[in-house]
Amino acid sequence: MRAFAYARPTSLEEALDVLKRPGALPLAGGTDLTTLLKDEVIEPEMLVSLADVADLRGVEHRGSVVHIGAMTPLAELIESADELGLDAVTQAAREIRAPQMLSVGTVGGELCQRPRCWYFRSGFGLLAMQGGRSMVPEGDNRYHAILGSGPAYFVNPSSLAPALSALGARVVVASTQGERRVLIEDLYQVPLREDQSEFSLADGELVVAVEVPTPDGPSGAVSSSYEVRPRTTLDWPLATASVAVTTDSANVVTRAKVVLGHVAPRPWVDLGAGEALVGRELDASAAAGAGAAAASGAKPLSKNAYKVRLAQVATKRAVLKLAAREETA
Amino acid sequence: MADYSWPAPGTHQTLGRRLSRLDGPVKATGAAKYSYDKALPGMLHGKMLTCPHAHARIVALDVSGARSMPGVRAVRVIQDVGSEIQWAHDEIVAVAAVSEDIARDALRAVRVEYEVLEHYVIEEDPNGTFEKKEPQERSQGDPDAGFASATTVVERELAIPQIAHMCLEAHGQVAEWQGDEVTVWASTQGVSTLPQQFVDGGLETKAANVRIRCDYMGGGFGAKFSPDRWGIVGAQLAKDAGAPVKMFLDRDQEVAVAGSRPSTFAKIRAGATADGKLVAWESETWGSGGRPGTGAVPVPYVFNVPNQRKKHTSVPTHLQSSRAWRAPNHPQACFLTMATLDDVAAELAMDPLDFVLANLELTGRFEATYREQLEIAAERTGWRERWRPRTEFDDGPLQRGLGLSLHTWGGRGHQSRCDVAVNPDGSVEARIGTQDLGTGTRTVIAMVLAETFGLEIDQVTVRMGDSRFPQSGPSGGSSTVGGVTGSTRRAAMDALREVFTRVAPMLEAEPETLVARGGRIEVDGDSTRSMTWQEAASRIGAVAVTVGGRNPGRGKLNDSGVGGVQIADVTVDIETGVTRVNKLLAIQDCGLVVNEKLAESQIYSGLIMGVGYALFEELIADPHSGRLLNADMEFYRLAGIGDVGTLEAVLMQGPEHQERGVIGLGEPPVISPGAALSNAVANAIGHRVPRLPMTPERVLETLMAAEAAEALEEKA
Ligand SMILES: Cc1cc2nc3c(=O)[nH]c(=O)nc-3n(C[C@H](O)[C@H](O)[C@H](O)COP(=O)(O)OP(=O)(O)OC[C@H]3O[C@@H](n4cnc5c(N)ncnc54)[C@H](O)[C@@H]3O)c2cc1C
Repeated sequence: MRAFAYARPTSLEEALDVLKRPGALPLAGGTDLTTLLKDEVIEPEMLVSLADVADLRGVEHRGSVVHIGAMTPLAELIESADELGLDAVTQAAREIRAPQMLSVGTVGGELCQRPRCWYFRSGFGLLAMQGGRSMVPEGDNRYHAILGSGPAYFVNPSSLAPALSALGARVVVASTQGERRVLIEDLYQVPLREDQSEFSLADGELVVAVEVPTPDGPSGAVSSSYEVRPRTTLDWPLATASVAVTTDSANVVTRAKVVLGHVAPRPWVDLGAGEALVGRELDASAAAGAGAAAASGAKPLSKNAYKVRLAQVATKRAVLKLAAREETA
Repeated sequence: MADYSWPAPGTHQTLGRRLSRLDGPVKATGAAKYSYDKALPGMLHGKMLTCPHAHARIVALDVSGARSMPGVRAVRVIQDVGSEIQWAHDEIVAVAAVSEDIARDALRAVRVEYEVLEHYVIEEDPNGTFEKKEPQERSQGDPDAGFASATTVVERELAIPQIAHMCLEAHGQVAEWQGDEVTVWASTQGVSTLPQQFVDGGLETKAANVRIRCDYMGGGFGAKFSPDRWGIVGAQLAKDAGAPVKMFLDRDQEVAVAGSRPSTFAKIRAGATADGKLVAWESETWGSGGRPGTGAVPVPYVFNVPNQRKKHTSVPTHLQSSRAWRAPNHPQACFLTMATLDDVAAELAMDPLDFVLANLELTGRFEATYREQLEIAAERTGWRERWRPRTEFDDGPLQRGLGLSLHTWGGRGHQSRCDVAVNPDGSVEARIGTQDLGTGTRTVIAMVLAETFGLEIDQVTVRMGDSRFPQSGPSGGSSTVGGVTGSTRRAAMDALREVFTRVAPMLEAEPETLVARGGRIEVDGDSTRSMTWQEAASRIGAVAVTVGGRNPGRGKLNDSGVGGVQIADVTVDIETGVTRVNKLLAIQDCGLVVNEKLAESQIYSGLIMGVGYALFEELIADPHSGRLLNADMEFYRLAGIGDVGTLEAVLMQGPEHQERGVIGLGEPPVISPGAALSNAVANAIGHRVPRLPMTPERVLETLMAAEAAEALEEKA
């Protein structure tokens, strides 16, 4: 870890002001950031702790949206999301199975955590370029992307992003220039060059909140997430799927959004799987149909063909959870 | 001549009891200080610069930037210009500084230029190696005739990868000099053997001047027998700087250089007759333990198949040299053998339990033990009711399976010396140059003292973990418990006899008629003539009675050779490939059980490690950079408590076992889990997952390959 300057502003305005400085990075719970520093993957000039910016913390209803402050700890998010019926979010967040991570990690930090790609974490860069070629296709790519067209093969690590994206959530991004809102999936971009970021944030921009349409509102949806994980202990999923649907009075799906995780550099909005659900009753056959439609066009690398199947199974099972919910309702 | 023995079966006072380990409370509260926790006044922090390349030559090296950095107290070049580096993370330069951060800054200020050389790290394809080794071939009987007589022949390709030791306490030590003498607080499996090794390793002093201490130890598993480069250089830096130096490896170094278990890849053929008798075995194996390659593992394991042909090729790679890993070579051999046998049974449409029973005469010395263990195991798991052939499935994605495996181990006590002192105030103390790896050695020694003197365990003191105490062997090969109980028992019996001699006149008895029991010394069979232990001790004079004992020695106190049977019960989700362990059952003999609770703990720990290497653990090297991609605890997955299922340990006890004396137990329980779990998964999903660990991707790949093969067949 190299020396860095440290700031601990007490207001959002002050925070945005310091974040303007070149080489400044926000520090939330620090669970990912400190690892990146220790491994010398990143070398920021300055860390700006958000711990004392009270405005950034908390979950509340604001009109037709649930407003989730970026500094809300994951444990608090789980409680609120559970009460609010944001099931896809609750289910995804609960899978981060370490009390320490849940009480220290934050919503903003979870969304903005860096990829776990082992080439990136070993210091080979986001694109793992060596002599003009990516090391990933010929290297060990068992956990890498199956969707997307390169040259980035890392997968987006966030568990919340697919769930929030399925629910149509937006992130509120702020800088000294003002505020803007973008769909969760558009917080991420696929870097094409080594000097590009995997986030669509401009220098000095901060994620201040997430806004999720309320489930009981007009655009309200029921949702679920399913993750395939090797272990029961704190671990990374191999593939995830989050599904949100609205149904009419006959239990027929009128709108559906399926978002896959751990299959591409961004949360993968799976249009095909979503379409497969529309017009169908939520049942086992609809689940199977959505599963079969998921991850179409996947181009697995040498060691990750299995992920195509996992993405499909995750999709199917996320829908099955919804079907089971309908049954008991 | 004095006779040494354990009390007759049925007459034990302390042995065999379920006592909690003495150091449990201090470990649970954090009061126990491991070598890693040692903090001395003025202590410096040592760090090492390591090579980022798997194979390279150092062409230029400049440490002046590190030397001149404020806060840096000593710098040592470990490998200089011209050295050829053979694996990534090999050590180049060491520094000692007033803080860890300054030490790291100093390493960044070192300039090294490498000529990068070609490397080879993926031994799966043995032809790629840079150093072809002659294969070793062995055969017995008439393999061709054996296969000719077989009605069923199974061919398999199986593999078990290199894995790490992943000790929670990293390798390292704190070294402090006082004049010419150095004390090293090491995390070690051999306090008594380390002093000479420090000198052999290049430390400029005499072995007599090196004192090793290790009060508590956070895991070794076979990786911590030597001072290693960091030990030597750490002590050298301390000497140079004139201050104590703490040097422990970072986790990535720990994984990359401080221990691995060799891999084995195998092509196996096994043949059996229609009545289920194994008649022929042929195997071609290769594998790597890093730069030196690796020898053959003992296949076929446990079953001495009459006709065999075996060929093994050692494959050197540019990875660290492997080290002994809990039961060296046995888990690999066990997996290769038991998986193959299980597949032969499946091919014969036989219950694997029947198949094993049909071939039990091939197991030799432990046939009867295995037979008894198999009976217990089958009964405990309801095998006869619950086992079903691989061809039968449940509805839905969750499939349940049972798997079986057998193993064997030696476990004879090592050389050990122990001094036992009885003080006039009645306190009893053992001094022994051994170490407690977390296995309960301290508690076991205390129990032998308590048993011998007729005292409670809290009335005796064990001093250990110091090379100034009488020498005891390093803890390897499950040899410690036999060794230390042997030396302690002999010393304690002699000390007690000495006490008897001194107090016998007061009880108007011959010393030979006295016994120590329940805190008293009494005439055997006449409790009216007795005195308390305290009183007896007070009569020995002003000076303690101190007696040395050793192992091996007269009298049968320990033995070698055990058998074990394990059964795994799993549920596999055939859509996700995720395997969950429902239960692992271990039936184990180990002679005289000193402490039932600690013995069970040893078995549990073996099973937990076994689940780890069966389902999760694997060192993953990058072909391009030659570096490990998962030298961490994130993608080098260890089993978590929720992943191991229900663990059940059954110890074989009773007079016939007790009469054998003490036998080591640390290693045998870790041998079978890989095989038993592999067999259980095969039983659940209908196909062999050919490689450990059985990660979801491997399970799915196996199923997808089987589906593809079936689709092809349907077409044809
Ligand atoms: C073994 C292991 C398994 C894990 N498994 C999972 C898992 O399954 N799913 C999962 O989602 N996570 C998992 N995690 C990761 C964990 O969830 C994240 O580390 C945590 O959520 C990050 O939150 P933080 O507040 O600590 O972020 P920090 O570490 O403080 O920050 C992370 C990054 O986000 C940036 N950042 C923080 N806040 C903001 C903001 N408001 N605006 C812009 N940028 C910001 C920081 O600059 C930094 O780059 C796992 C971690 C480990 C070690």
